[in-house]
Amino acid sequence: MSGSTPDRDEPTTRGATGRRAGPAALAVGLAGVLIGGPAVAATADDSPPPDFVAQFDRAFTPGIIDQSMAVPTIKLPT
Amino acid sequence: MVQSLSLSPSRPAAVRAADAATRARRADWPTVVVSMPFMEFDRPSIQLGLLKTIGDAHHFPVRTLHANLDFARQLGAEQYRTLAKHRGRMTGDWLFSVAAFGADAPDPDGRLAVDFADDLAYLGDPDTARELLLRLRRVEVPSYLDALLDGFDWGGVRVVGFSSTFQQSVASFALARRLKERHPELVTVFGGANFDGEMGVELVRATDCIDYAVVGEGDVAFPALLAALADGTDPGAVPGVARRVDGRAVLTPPGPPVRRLDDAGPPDYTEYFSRAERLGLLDPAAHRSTWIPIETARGCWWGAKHHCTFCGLNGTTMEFRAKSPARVLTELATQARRYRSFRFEAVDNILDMKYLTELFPKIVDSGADYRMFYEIKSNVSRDQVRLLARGGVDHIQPGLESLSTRVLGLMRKGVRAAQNVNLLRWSRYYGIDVAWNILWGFPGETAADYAEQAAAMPHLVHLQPPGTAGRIWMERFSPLFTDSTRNRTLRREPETSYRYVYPDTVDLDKVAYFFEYELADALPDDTYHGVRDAVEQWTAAWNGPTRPQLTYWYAPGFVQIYDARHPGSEGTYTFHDELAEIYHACVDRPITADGVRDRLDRTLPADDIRVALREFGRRGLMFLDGNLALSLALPSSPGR
Repeated sequence: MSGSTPDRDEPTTRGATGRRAGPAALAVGLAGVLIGGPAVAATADDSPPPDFVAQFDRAFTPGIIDQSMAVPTIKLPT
Repeated sequence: MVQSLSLSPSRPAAVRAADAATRARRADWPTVVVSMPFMEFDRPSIQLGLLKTIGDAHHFPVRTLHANLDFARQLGAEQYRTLAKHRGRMTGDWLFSVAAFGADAPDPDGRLAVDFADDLAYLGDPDTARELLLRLRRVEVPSYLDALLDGFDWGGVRVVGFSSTFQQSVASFALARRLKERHPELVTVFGGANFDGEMGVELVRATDCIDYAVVGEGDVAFPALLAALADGTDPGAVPGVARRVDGRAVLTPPGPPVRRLDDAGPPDYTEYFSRAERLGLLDPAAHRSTWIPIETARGCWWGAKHHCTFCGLNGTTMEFRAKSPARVLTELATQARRYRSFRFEAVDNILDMKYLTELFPKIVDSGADYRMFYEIKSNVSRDQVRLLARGGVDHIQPGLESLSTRVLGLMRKGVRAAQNVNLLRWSRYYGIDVAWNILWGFPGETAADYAEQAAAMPHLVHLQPPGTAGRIWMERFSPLFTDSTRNRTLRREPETSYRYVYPDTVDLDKVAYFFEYELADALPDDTYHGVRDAVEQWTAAWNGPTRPQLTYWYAPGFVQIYDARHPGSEGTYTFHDELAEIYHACVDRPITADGVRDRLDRTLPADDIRVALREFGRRGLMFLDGNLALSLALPSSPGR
């Protein structure tokens, strides 16, 4: 019974790390191997942090919008 | 795909081979299985339906008597439902106590209504409640029992079986007692969840209207007991059967649990529908809306490994067993056609995960218009929720229990709070109703665990709120009950209202299922006031004139989130570039900052992503749970 295997019962952090196998991550990984790995990662990590907090402060616009646009319908595709 | 639309009652080889003499002998043992108040009357009893099918397969002429229908008809549907659904005190059992135990009944004057006035407020003020309960007990119950005795053809019946779950035991004793007085030759057999473990043994010892009790599963023991009676062999030799010997109760060791659920035919509910229609409780319309109970699995695959600390289900048979997907598919079709209803209520404690790959895709492909209820474990994915919805599951009970990962760990739930929230999100999106509760009172929890939940709840009001919030009950068979040392139990005694029902000759420590208790490290009640108030506000918001919503629109590099969770504070968040992608990366399921980074092709350092996640959390747009983040908004596009 698949439902009783430990993997399935663990929290889904495993699923998140599973994304490492995706094509984009794999490309970065291969490039890292070819060019020297750590240097590629360091380039990304050294980029200046975006000013997220300021963006959050500007993000909100008050007001009610058209309800017909906003209500998620629960109908499934037929 | 062509599939068979009928399932024949399956007969074990030994029964198929029964010779003519055996069949004739068994035909001479007409048996009636009875379901008494206060089982809900809106659906048939799966216990009775299954026992009839099994009995028939063994060549015993078994009839089913849903006697609860008669009391519902007598009292009126609403009053019956009110009495049946409130299980906190043993009011239903109390009503039949005098009829069952006569002068030995402990509370002839109705102190119950006064001593538990707060809990019985649904019946009115204490005087009104007492007057009502005494009238029901003194007038309605006797006339009901008389009508059952006179109105059913008991002539020739050799065995009467009673199935008892929740508050059915004492009503069953009352009818059994009268039946024995009128038909002393009748053999009575009791069973059901109320007879599991030592409860059944003690009830047999203390209640003389019980001849035998099946302790544990009845699929094998019940027909074996009937066979022993018919064949004249020793019924006391049947595994899993209790009986009185010289004033003591003796239980034979139980047999193994039933492992091949496919072997029995589908439950036979024919007499439920005919009786309900005859009594005017069901409209004999062409199309029915009755929820048909279906059993697709028994036991709990999670509990077999990690028994949730509060759970008392599956007392002696936790082992998980499931019907094959092919069998379930066929049974659904058979029962829908047989009973003209497309609604099914699975009585399973937990969904078999293999049904997500081997059953529900086939239901979808079949085009069947079923509506189904299932209990599930909450760590299902968005795709799995969607599949369940497309397969017709529109009600679930996922056992969420808490929005604190720490508390969920204490109760051994095996999920995190973010997974619970995610299930609520996708259930709303795909149109599935979620029955769930907030529980508290677990050994080891702290006030902070509840302060955090109370703080998170205002951000969740666009999701279905819990039905109730309260302290855990102590149930027999649960780890909270069995492991008193580990839980540092200072006091444990049967729930008080049992004393108002059973004579003092009954050992309530052995008979009770619910217990009152005191733990050494319990937090005071006011620890939970914040959560209780937050749940009330959540419920009020959900049931208000405009249902709260939090909806997002996404395009690459661009997200807008419309926040209408709190009237008067509506507005739209607009995020571009990295923030838009970070939010979108956390939509499907809870994910770590590293996971987000991978999804964004590692274009951002994880620390920056953590800053963004914290800000989304601070503004109530994400649910943060340790290292996991989950976007709270739902997609604007329907049903994807």
